[in-house]
Amino acid sequence: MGGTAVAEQVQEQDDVRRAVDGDAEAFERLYRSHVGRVYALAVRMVDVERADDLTQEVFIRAWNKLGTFRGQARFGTWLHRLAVNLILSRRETLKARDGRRGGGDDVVALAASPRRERPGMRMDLEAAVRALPERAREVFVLYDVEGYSHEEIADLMDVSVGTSKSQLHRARMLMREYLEL
Amino acid sequence: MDERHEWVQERLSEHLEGSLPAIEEERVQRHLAVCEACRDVRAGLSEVRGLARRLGPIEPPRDLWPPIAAAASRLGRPERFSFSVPQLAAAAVVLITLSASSAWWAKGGGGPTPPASVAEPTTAPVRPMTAAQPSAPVPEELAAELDMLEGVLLAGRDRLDANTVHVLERNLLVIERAIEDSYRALSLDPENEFVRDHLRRTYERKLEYLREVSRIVDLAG
Repeated sequence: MGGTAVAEQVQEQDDVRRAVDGDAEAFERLYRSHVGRVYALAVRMVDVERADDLTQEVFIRAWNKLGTFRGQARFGTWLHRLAVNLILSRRETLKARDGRRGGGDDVVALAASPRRERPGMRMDLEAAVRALPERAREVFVLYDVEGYSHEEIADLMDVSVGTSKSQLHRARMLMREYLEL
Repeated sequence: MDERHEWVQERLSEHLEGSLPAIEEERVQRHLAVCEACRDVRAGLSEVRGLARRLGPIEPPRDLWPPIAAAASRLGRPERFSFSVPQLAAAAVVLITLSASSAWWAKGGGGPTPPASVAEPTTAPVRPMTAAQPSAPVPEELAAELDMLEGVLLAGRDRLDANTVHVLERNLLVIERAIEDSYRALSLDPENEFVRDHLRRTYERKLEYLREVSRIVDLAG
């Protein structure tokens, strides 16, 4: 571990301790460090429209539960797990509230849009992720993007390990098709 | 699509993860050796996997902090994790039992005395902090934090005075010896759940201690 990384870790630990004591400025530093990862998770797992609200809800929940963070894992790991749980628990509510889009419309839109060349691959890739069917997208994001294991995903999503594996394969095959790889 | 291609392609993700049963892996590899179409599919899946790993954070297009700050202000201090009296009583019973059991175990096993106290005096030469790890395998879920905290120590050692460093190193050595003793006992009796649990608790004790030390390093500026 490099000196800068160590210093950042020490600073983060200090910020967590201060935030637990009610220091909002310390919590804001934690927010600034981690918001990009939480927001990206919300965009990819749900959609851009709801990502703002979900991200804010994650950090408010984190503030409220900060006293239960006991330092067994890094703060970022704890926060990310909290974000995944909250996002997965909200999806049913979100669907019931205003009807969830399937993957189909996005796929049509994607197919109709010109395919970007390499420098713009990132845009294509994000659009392709969003176009995946819901379950396949969730497993793909958690496994291939975020690095969770099938066992962890099965636990988080309340599905079998076999289901997680088959949804991942389905997602990768569709991504390959969308990206014309 | 030919049934064989379908069978192989359904297994390509697991093939890429290296998690196929050996017999299926062998069959997939035999097929891939002669089938260009399935090799193309595998290459595509592999590229998808590689691209996904490069997806990084996305900064929100607008500042989401103000409503969070307002909510935090409204909610007040985060709730603190606390134990009820019955929970504390139960924890005390467990602690007493464990201490007594470890003394019994150490005596019965004829091994060295386990650390009754972190501050146990010793005249033995002291290893520097973050010296070689004990040979006992570190529990996977504790490894990352132990590693990080030892990095904090290594980076902050020079900020502490020599006497403090000596005391910290001496206490760390006591804990590491306890880990070694527990591991040795477990090697002799691998099925002994108590000893396994004791080893794990000793690692947790080391983790707690390192967290405290990291605060000391932190305070030293």
